[in-house]
Amino acid sequence: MKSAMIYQISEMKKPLLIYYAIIFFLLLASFLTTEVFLHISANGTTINGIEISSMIFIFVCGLNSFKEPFRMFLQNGLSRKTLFLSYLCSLLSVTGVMAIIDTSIGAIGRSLGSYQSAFHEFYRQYFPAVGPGQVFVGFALSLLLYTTSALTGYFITSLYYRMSKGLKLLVSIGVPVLLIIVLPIVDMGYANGAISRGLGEIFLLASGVKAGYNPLYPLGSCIILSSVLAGLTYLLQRRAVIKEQV
Amino acid sequence: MSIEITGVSKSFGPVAALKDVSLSIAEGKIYGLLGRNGAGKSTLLNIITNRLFADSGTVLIDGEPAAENDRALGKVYLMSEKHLYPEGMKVANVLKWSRHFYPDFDMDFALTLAEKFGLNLNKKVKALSTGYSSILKIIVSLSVNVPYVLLDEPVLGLDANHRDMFYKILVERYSLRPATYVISTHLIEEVAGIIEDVIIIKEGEIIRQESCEGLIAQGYTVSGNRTVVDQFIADKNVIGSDDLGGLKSAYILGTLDRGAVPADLEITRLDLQKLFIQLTA
Repeated sequence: MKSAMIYQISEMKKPLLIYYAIIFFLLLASFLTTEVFLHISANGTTINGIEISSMIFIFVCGLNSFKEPFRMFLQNGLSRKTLFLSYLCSLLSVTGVMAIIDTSIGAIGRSLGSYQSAFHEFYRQYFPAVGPGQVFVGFALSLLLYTTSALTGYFITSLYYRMSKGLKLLVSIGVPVLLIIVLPIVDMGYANGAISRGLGEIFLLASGVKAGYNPLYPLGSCIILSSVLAGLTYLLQRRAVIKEQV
Repeated sequence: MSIEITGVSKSFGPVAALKDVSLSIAEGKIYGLLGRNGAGKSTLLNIITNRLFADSGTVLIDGEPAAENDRALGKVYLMSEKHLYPEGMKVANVLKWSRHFYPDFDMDFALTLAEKFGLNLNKKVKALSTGYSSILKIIVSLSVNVPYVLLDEPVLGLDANHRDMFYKILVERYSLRPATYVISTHLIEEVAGIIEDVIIIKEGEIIRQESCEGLIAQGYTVSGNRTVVDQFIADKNVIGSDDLGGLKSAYILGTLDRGAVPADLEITRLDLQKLFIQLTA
């Protein structure tokens, strides 16, 4: 298990370093431009959204985290169960580090006045001032959102791995068509907008907006969603086999 | 201590790759797993190593179920025709990770072999030719130091010199540190001299599992003048023959009565490949 975890983390290390090198470069460039060269921070110009970038980055990492490690583990006499558990453990380590970095960037940036955390911006009502409790909630929210993002990618790639070529094609075309064309037509033409309203309600509840922008709601939502995704992913992986004749 | 395979069956759609296969692979022997293309050799090896799931039946490694069992699977290394290492991984990293996953991996031995075979450690796996890809797998297989090493077409793409080196190193390694080696190959003549037991698989069924000597002792080769050979084999169970000019060699299954052999005929051991061809035709 230890070797498995070391391998999984090493697979994520290089992209993670590249990602944060880019982020730090952009932050530095932004800071130098606004604060040093243009002196416009007094106008309230800030940058934010690193958390969203991190969510997208870790989602893409999740998409690329199954096939190669799966083959590598089977080559080296490790089970699918070890593959899955080592991924979960290493993912939590990586998202934990990312959450610490992003929370630190948020805290430092906020004190410099040139950065605003996306979560603090969204849950402004909950974070009127930043104290240790709010920092911890911000960290926990980052951790869980990143973990859920990665698990979404990991679930999708595991699902695609188990599908036949025909089914992959069907899902790749069918799902966007269903979401972009069929659903709006059915929703507006037959359901009188009830579907979109229902989905909106679910989102508002899950994100804590309905509860007065309470970030504890998305914490709970992420725990439930990531548990479901992890469970489904394990079900997909436990019977996965090497596809080509080896 | 052994790998026990009991009642294993596996189908791919309508094709039955393995049919109720039962087999015992003992510790400390070199086996030849022989079968024609599509006989089920690779499927069997992949099921033993948990890469494929059997439809029915069990595989026990030293008494423990192999399926999804890290401890049991850690005792077996399969070198398959196509390896499963990441294409972008460097050869040196393949060795490094093998040491991580197999605690007894002999890095010094692996590096010595890499030098002997001329394998570039800085090359990426995807940049290796078929021959060097086989060499990399051979090096890892011989260095992992696990009780059971399964080699599926180990000399694929190797030139004669490298094949010869591999067989010599395998025998040296086996004598220094005995382990079970199962060699699945079509180059029967080349491995005939090093395998102790033979497992012959035909259309998904094990048709023979016995010692190589025992199998070969079930028959003999008779050579000499074609007319004399033809007369001698007239009432024998002939499994094949080769003609060259006025000379003929015939491969006979059955017990030899030395007293009945004409003086101008030569009797030699049965050829394993000829026997294999006959058994799997």
